[in-house]
Amino acid sequence: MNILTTYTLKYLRLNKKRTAVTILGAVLSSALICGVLLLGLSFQKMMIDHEIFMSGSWHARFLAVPFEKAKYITENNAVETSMFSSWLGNATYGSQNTVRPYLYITAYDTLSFQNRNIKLITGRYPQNADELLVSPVMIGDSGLGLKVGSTVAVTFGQRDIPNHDEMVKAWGGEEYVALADGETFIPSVSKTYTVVGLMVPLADETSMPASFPALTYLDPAQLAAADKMDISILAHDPHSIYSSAPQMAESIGLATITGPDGQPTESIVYNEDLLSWMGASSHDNYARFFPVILATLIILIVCGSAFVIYNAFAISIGDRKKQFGMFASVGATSAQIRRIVLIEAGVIAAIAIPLGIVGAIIGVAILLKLTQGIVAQVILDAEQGMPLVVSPLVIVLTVLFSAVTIVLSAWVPARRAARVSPIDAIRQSGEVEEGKLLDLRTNPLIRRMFGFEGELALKSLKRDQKRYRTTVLSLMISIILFVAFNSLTLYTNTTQNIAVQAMNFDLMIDLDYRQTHAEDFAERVVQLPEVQRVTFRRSHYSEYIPERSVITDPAYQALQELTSLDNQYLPTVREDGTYEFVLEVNAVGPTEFAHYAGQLGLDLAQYSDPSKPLAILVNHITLRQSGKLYDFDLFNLKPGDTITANRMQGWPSPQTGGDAIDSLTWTVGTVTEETPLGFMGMTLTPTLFVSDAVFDSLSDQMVQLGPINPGNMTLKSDDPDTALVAIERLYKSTVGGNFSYQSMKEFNQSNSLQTLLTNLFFYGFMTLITLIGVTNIVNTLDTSIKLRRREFAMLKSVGLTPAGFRRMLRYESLFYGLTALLYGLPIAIAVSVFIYSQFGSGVGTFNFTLPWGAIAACIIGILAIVFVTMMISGATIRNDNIVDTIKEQNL
Amino acid sequence: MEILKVNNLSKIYGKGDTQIKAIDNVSFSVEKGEFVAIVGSSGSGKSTLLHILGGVDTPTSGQVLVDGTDIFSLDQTQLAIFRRRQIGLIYQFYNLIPILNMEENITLPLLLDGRRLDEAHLKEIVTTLGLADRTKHLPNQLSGGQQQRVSIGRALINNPALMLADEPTGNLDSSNAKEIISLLKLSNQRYHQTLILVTHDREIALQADRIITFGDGHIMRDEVVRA
Repeated sequence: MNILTTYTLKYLRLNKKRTAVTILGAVLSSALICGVLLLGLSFQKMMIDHEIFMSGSWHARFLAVPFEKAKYITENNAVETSMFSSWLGNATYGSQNTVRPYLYITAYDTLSFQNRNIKLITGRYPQNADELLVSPVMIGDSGLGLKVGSTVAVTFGQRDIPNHDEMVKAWGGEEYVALADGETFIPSVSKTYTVVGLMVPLADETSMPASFPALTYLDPAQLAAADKMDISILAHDPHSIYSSAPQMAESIGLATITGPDGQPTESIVYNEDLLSWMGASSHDNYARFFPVILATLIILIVCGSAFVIYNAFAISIGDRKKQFGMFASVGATSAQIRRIVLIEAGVIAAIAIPLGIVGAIIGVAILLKLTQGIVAQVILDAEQGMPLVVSPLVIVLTVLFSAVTIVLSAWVPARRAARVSPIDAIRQSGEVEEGKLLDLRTNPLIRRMFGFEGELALKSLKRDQKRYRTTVLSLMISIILFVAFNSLTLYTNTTQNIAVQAMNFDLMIDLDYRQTHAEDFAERVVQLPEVQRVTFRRSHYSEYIPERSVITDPAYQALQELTSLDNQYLPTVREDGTYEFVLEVNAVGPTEFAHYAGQLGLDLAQYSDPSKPLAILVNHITLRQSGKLYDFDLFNLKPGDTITANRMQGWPSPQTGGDAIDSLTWTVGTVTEETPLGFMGMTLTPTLFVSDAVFDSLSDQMVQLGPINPGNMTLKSDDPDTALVAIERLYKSTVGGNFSYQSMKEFNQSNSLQTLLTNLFFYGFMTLITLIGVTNIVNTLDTSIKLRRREFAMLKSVGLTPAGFRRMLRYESLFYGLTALLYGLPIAIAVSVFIYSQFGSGVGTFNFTLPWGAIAACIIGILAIVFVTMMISGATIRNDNIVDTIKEQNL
Repeated sequence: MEILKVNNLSKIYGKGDTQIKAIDNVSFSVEKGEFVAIVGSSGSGKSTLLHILGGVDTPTSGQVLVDGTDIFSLDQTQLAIFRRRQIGLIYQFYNLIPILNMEENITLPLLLDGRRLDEAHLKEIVTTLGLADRTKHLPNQLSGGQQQRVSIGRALINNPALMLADEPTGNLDSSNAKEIISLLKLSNQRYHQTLILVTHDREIALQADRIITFGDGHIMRDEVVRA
């Protein structure tokens, strides 16, 4: 073996403690890098699986492709799999549900059934064009007693909706238009299907108010050349889908098609969410920032680790300066001396990287196992929790980043070692270079306050500025990272808690008031003993353009500032400088309105008179945008003032009979900041509350100005679980059909779990980063003691007592720790301020605060680490023989 | 044949009022196979001179030609290689590598050169130095005298043109000191090594062929003791 390798291996073996500490730092670094990559890829896999579960496994979908041209897509080199689907039409089927009388029948080929999110409950997928797959909700609602094996006769046809085009344009598609007054059905073809399976209701199901989705089989062999269908594809390379798909579309003349609203639209739809998680989407969204987050974490780890490992090598080089000088005097070249250090780096890497990778795999596997239950509750389809993905890419990237970190960290010390001159080996002087002037004067106060030992301690620190700065910087980095991470965790948790606290109800039930028996259901819910308060929310939207004088100055100022930001809740600015607001008028149900009016001390009778429609105006806005708090009244309106609601842009012309109206005037009865049950924080949408009597009496007019959303039901209960059971039973016996709800208890649980999960990962990461920092500090301080053995021996020889020696080390600890805290804490606080400024955008605010507990722990921790390290290191040399240490001749 | 020539060599530390001329415009030459002792009081500059001759320190001005090569016209790499092949340095404080054993310390210049070890040559040196039974010992397992012998062995292994010894007996008792000087004389006689030895000990100096007396950075006297 080469003498340089022999020397290096011997050095590492003989300095086991320092070698172990360096290897530990490198292992932690590799483990962290590998752990972040493993978690990242595992999370990505889980989200990809989740998106496939939610929206199916496809990348792009070409709409309305003539069958004769399909081959130009299916046989394209970029396409791995292609799936056909075709909407056959609306059909009646003799359902007893008078609100949702249609079936919305789509045909899928075999691959579509496999790859799109269709989950069988019982039975099987259709295998021919006479078979049908439906949801249990449809079966329950139809009242026909259908089951697997039943036949159902359907009649395809056209929905003849009054103002068809305008309604379709307003709702974004015929399938989203509810059964309209005066609507008729024009039948065409009849067909009989056999029900062969029941499927979990599709995601679309709840947004089709007039129909239930049903699926049949599409046999491409039965298609004629001119038949149109949708083709969904899985691309070989999802990353190029945004270029390959348009090329394919263009090649068959599919540039744009006419959308349901009559406007030209893209003929290609992309599975954005899935593509995002694959890193293939070009759109700005959370998933796109995911690799950025991963990369940022890895850079943080690499920088932190590089510093630690660099320091370890710098200490090692400093320790062997004379030896390197001796090598040089005997004729070793600079390159050979450099090679010694790089061999050391190579050995460290060869040991540490595999250990780090194995450690990370085991650690992450354990972490994922522990969090399996939590993850499964947060992401319902991830029953097995997050899968552990150990890909060759993870190993390769870990080896690459770790090796680069270690070698780069050793490079500067290697060059320094190579520059050691032979004369450095010959001279017996200590670390002070000959001829170099140092200002080692200390303030006389130091001796008075800390004694001579304190003065010695301070001079000791001043003498080796490089080591002092390195140690203090190590401590500072640990302080900053620790406090910053705790701030991040604190603000994340606070934001989540605010969202939870803003929910002032226990249950929310989806209730379409247009459904049969909806009112009956609502009235009976009020009487349930488990229910304390109920809001039956119906909301009407129209347009409000106030005069400039009506808008308060703070509000106007805010609108000027917020206009430059992309915010969906912003009113639209007009050419003349006025603003178009969306006005929301709400009815909350008679009981809740009475409660609300009572709370505000209002005369309920006054607000129930339809001939003089009085409204309660909620006028106060509090939101945070880009770190700035906006807190103001929106309008200068007082009781007696009026608000004129206009027709919303694009809302179709009068829907009902009678005289058409273009506006409706509301009178402000009272202005308040309070809201009824179920309303959480205001956005920049002025909100009125009216009694149900007023809302009902004016609904024919209101609907001419804008939509009335069927809304939902929110309620408060002391026993939400029991209330939910009773309500669901009531729902099924009245309204029937799909019972959809949100429970705040479940939301809170999910939220707590998410917080727990987030905290687990945050704290785990923080612990490891802190550990790296601590390793570095311990290594540096321990070596600084060991390197001054001779000096300590000399001090003892002239009379420094053991107690005095301990005192000197204590003061050194104090000076290191205090300096690091004095510089590190202000920087950490500044970083926390920056992190805070990135939080709290929109409704829900929290005042700036610091993680005081973490800061206190940090102060105690830093002082403790420094103190304990120096005391332990000091203890190991305390009993050195004075003469032997002074006389130590060799290198 | 002239093996060493020094021309107008100076070494100055510091500037202005604090300037110290450790070597002040010194010139001399040494023949191959000569045993030269450089004597002088403490701080006279003799060790500085020796270190410059060995290429481990650089002069402020002047020239040092070893076997015709101006050693300070070489770059760092060339100088290191030159040093390992042509110069053997022995220090007062041994300066062995503590984690290499005796054999490795002796053969260090050879190993750095990447050359194959001549076992017979090594055995001869080790036997001559009386270290045959200590080859695998670490420096801290050897006495002071033994360690200094190891450093002599290291200086000899490559048959260098020039052997430079800086107070080689300064850290040894008289018995060991005598032995070391004997070994150095042996290598001078047997291998025709040119030996320049710095010492403050007159008795040791008198064993040399020529004594150069150094004082205040100058050569005070240069006398041939033995022809």
